Amino acid sequence: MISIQHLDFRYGKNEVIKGLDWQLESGKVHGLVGMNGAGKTTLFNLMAAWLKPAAGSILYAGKPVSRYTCAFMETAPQFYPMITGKEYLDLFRLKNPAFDIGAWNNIFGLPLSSVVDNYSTGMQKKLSLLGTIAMNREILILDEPFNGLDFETVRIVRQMITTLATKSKTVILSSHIPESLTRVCDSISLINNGKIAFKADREQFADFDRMVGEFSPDRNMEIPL
Amino acid sequence: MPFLLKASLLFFRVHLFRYGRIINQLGIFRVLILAGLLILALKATSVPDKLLWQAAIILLTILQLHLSRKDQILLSNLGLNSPLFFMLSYSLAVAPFALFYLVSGSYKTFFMLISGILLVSMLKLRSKEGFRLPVFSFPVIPADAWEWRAGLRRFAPGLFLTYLLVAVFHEQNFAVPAAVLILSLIAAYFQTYQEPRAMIEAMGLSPRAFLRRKWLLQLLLFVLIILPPVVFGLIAFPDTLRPVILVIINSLLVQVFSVSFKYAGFQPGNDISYAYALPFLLNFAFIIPVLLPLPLVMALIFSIRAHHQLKLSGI
Repeated sequence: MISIQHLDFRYGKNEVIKGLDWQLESGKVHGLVGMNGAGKTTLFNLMAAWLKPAAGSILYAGKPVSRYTCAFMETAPQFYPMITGKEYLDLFRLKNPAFDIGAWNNIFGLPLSSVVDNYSTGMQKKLSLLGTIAMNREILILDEPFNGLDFETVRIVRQMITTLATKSKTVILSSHIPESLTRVCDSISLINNGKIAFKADREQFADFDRMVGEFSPDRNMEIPL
Repeated sequence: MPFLLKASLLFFRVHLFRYGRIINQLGIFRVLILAGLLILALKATSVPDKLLWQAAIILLTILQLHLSRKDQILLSNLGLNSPLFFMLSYSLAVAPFALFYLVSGSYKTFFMLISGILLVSMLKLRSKEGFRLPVFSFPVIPADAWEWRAGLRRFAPGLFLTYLLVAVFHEQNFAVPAAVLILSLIAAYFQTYQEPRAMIEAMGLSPRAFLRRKWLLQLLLFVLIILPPVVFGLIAFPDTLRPVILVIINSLLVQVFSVSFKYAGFQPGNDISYAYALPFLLNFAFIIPVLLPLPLVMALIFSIRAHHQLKLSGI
């Protein structure tokens, strides 16, 4: 169980996370949606222990999360220029020699002997995802994992995520678009104004649009054309 | 006001603010050192017989900036990807120097600067898609020495040229210390890109252990690349070892410094080649006796800062 209680975080005077509480079952896939700037990435940074909260706690199996508990895939993956895909993945084998690069790359067919600078956005995302999996951590946090991927790869990534959960990994992923999460997640939560506004289980997904709609009231926009 | 002049002024202003923000991020300590070095360099080259050198350095800087521009698409969309726009922009940037040359009567330098700007502006910017470097593999280099894998891939020709220099000037006793110096400059440059956090996370080390590992790799691999010229120097010039040892000690300290410097201001994915002036100049500290302890002092200061910064970054 991941238990987040009374979490606070601010960038300077800007309070981004405000007394956030969130309970997540282990070995499941959890989605997080929210509008731009709602605090999704900040929350993930806190969960991955990349940021320190101003107050509150994040516990995994009763102990505070550390950087060794979570593997975090950022929205826009960054790579060291002029290294090959193989060299990037080799790094993760330092701590996890059992990671079979060839077998995993059979899924995506990345040109691992090419330098990452020549990869497309989607290819970089795939490489980053393989690196995150190679870390072999208990919790995988994937920030916008479907961004930049083609529909075939989205299907494969969904299958990968589901398989990871069956191997007792807890997967937490975010999206701006709720529909992309309903097929893969066991629960989806909405973050709004620095707090978890609600958490819906699989049975409530049919009603999800209405629930989200309450937090994004329709506005008649005039397009200045 | 003509459109291109208006656009040049706007871009000039944007870049001024951008550089202001970069300087602001460097911190007061580094800004003071860089400002001091810059003032010294300007003062030393602002004499009549050195003005040509000053103009050449300015032109090389403009050339480097021009060739590393990444805003081709934006400029094309705005209809600004033209030599005339670059001429106006770069002329604005060098205007104070050009005026100085005119006022001081150095017309030759003035015309050299202006004609250089015209030539640089006419160089077409190439898009990234057409550019592919051959990929060499370095299986003997440890996986966590990514700076060296990437660096050797980019600077292998520089390394071979340095060895060639030793071979060509093998009868001159300056060849070996010069080669060590050049190799030190190249190796220090490898540390000018800050890797993404996932790569550090992959190593699973504490900040202290991580820094130790990085120093060790930098020193070991640097010793490995200077070994051929140094061994040659030991055999060919056994009586003139002192300058070689001096350059080696200085270079080793600069390598420690370059690693610490990189992590002292660690921001994942940040390119800090703009701050390379500092390790570059420290490589020459051995020339002036009073500056000899500087690389050691700087390496110590920045090592502490690097450890602190890595801890702050949650590593």
